[in-house]
Amino acid sequence: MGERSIDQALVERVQQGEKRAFDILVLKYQNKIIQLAYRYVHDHDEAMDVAQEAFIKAYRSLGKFRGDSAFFTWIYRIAINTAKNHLVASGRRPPRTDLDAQEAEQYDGATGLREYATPEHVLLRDELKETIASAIKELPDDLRTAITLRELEGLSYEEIAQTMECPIGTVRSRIFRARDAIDTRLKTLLD
Amino acid sequence: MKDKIHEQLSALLDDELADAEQSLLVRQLVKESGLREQLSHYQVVSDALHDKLPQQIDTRFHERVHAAVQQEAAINAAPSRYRALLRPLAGLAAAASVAVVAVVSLQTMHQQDPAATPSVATAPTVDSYIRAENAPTPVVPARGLDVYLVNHNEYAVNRGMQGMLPYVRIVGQDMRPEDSREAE
Repeated sequence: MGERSIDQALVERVQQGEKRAFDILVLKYQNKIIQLAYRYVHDHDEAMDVAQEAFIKAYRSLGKFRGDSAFFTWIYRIAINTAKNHLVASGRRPPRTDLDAQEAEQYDGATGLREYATPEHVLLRDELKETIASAIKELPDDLRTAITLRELEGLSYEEIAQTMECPIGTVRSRIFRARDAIDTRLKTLLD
Repeated sequence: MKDKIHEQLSALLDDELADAEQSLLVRQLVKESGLREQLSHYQVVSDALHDKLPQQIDTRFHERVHAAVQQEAAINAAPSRYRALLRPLAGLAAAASVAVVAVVSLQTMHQQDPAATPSVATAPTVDSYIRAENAPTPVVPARGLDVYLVNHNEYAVNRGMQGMLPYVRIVGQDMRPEDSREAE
């Protein structure tokens, strides 16, 4: 793990006036925030609007963010409040219980989404997932193990290094090569 | 070289980058849209593996947020213009406080030496107007340092110089013959 959280470093850069650093935070959390917003508003376009509004609100308030909580916990809370306000403003009733950041992290998006997703949208997501699964299957053993331990088991580079009995630098390289191979397969879908 | 940077991006995503590398990479990310796009692709892979993908994947979403933030910044530029307008007022406030100091210090001088003379008053504060209205007409012979100050200030103003206290208008009061008689 980095000596200092990348999120905190990015937040500090934004606080110093580097707007583009905020883009990186948006990049990191946009999918999760859109998915979270969708769970409240049940409409993809509205979810995108809510997510955008949440990020703008976060940007406005970032000067006051002191890092007492993790950035993602903070932005999740903002997104939930924004989604609830959006529902109230459009005459709908917000859910009685909130989804806290940890629950949202553990939330299985597919469960909630299948109820409302339109087939063409699901196709894109499912196509992406299929492509990724197929790309992982075709990876050499060492790359597949490294990316699986990282992404699915959530192990740190150090833990993976111990498990795979190799230096941390090798783990870092294997994870990158795995991601790069997957990305090569995804490029036609994403670009 | 490109691979090395992309490897750093991958480690950044996992929060496994050392501070020194992190700082350099973030600087590059801020500058290069291509790198941000690459990071976005790696993030999609990660989110897909964690089942965190929304229905539609909009890889340009962050650009839209950025545009909105830029717009926000443009709106926020307005108060800064107001701040620019407030700067002269800050100067006035400083002038007013100088005036108060001048009044207080000169009054102190008069209290300490009742024989000292022409009263030197400052114009701009309301407080000084009130005080001038309520106060009895000062009875003071035009002598000493005060005379020098008044004379110097008149000279400085006539020569277009700032004088000793540039924000303070100093006026002198000469004694009229009838005042002189009343004083006696």
